[in-house]
Amino acid sequence: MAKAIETMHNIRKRELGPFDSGVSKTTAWSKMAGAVVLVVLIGIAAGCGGPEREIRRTLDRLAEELSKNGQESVVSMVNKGQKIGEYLADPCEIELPEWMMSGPQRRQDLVQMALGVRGSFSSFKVSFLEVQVELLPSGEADVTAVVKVSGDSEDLSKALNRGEVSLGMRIDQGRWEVIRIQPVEAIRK
Amino acid sequence: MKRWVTTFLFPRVTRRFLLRVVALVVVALLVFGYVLIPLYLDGKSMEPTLKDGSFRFCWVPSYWRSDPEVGDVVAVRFGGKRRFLAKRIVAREGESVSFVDGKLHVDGVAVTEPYVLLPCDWNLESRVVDPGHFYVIGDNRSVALDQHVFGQVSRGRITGKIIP
Repeated sequence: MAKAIETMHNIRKRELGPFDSGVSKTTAWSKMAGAVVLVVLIGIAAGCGGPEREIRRTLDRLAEELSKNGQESVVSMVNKGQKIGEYLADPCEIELPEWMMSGPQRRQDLVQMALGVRGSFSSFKVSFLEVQVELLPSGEADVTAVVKVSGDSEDLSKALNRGEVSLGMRIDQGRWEVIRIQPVEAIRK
Repeated sequence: MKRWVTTFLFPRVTRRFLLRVVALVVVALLVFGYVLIPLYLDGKSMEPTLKDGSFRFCWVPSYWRSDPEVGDVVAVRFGGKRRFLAKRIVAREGESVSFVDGKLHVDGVAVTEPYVLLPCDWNLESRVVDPGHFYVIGDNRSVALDQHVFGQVSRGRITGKIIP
């Protein structure tokens, strides 16, 4: 009887292989895989914290303010303009030669331009996607993002649709603001 | 046979089965996200080589160890990681590109392009491709010059070769 039990134990040991603490191979691999996934998720969460996360949130809020959902009253438009202006430095460097804007521009002028564009369309949504942040030793940040514009107006969607932009940002009184906007030229004739 | 079909369609949800599903999903995400990228072609700029509305794959490892070659049809990252231009490489860095009466010239020599089947009347001054760049153009040049998106792109934006 004892010999039978001993034989059974040896057989089980052989089956279990190196995991002979009584844990099956499948369970051990599952635990390892789960641990790896957990470590990766913690790493991602840690990497996404701090200034990078603040900048992403700032751009999300700016995109919300730039977007338009239906007709707006004059008061709403003025409020929107003020809110959009809070995200821009004064002056702000712009490189939009197709829009006849190049060099430092006053915040007020940029806000007026943004409101003008918004007024031309009934509704559209602006999003900043694939945001990549590089913090500089000076405390500023170089940000590249994909700007996506979608709306019910074919003209707007076709004109702007999706493009890469490079933004310079700095922190001022606890808030990140945009100091430079430049489209990224992916292809040049 | 019936039992096999039933087992295949309605497998027992065991831990091993779940692990296999997770592994399959991870592998699929890695392969179709970084190695063999599926592309839906929206536009006519590469017709007749690549039809508008067709479906292709971009083979990323083509350029892991080597540079693109002239004549390759490539996917160029255009608007973030999910939007590409499908174009053909016509010139490398240091070479000059121009169009004379619809004919492509590279370094002053007219290029024979059997893949361009539609008429073209472009005229474009000579320009030299910058270091680290390639010149890409679509095969369909029957539209106006300013309506066709083409030009030089950096090597880093060329994601892979489009499988015909």
